Amino acid sequence: MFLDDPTATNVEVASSTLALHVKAATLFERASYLGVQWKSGMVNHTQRRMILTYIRPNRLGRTYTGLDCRSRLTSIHKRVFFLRELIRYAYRYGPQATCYIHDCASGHDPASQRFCRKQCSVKSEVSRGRQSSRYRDRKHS
Amino acid sequence: MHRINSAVSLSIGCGLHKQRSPTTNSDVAFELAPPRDAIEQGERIDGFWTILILHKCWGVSLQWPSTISDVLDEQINIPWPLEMFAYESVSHFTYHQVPFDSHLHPYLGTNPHPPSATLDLENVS
Repeated sequence: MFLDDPTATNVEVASSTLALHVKAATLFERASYLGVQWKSGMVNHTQRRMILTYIRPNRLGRTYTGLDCRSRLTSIHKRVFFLRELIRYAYRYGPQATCYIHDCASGHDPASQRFCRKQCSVKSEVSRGRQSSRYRDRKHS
Repeated sequence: MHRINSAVSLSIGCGLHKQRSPTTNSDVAFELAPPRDAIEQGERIDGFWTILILHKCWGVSLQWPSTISDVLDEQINIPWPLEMFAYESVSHFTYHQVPFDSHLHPYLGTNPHPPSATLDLENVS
């Protein structure tokens, strides 16, 4: 992951690691803000295209062919790479990173008492004070 | 988030988001003393950018729309941060030919590579 590599400054022009993080955080915040606006139906055509640029890298070539030069495409690809890595980072280390019972990276929020579907049904039984035999078998196995 | 907002307000109030110029009148609420050396100035620059990173990342994590992001992005005109050894290696730290405009705003716009700060390497010790 590039955030763990302080020397990974070749992804984008950055004067330092801190500058790299500033740029990435700024892009991440802006993309998130535009995404929220889009969900709320508050974006125009230009903003919608900008969001598509951020979140749909596989269609960049189709969207921007003939409209922008190659250097802009390259730059956008780098930005999308930033965002994708940052989203991975946020899901891995963020407050809603993993199911805190199983660490299964399901991304559920512990505060909302929603757990992963595969394993946390057992946890929900435990939380109600009924320790099932299935849970005991799994616990002691 | 409350403490981050407080930190952002404090840093803006102290004028850490703007490049200090001896010729222009300061409009900040609390005038900080000029930095004693390049390291202190570098610490101020890094400190502000770190606050900004925290502000943006927590805004995304908590899904709270930042009402000051747009305003803040347009007003920031301090240079991009450098590595600390770059500050330490310069005896007299001056930025030259840094345009008086935002750095984040053109970065998010059409210009992917805004003019970055350049160190005055003539005074490298």
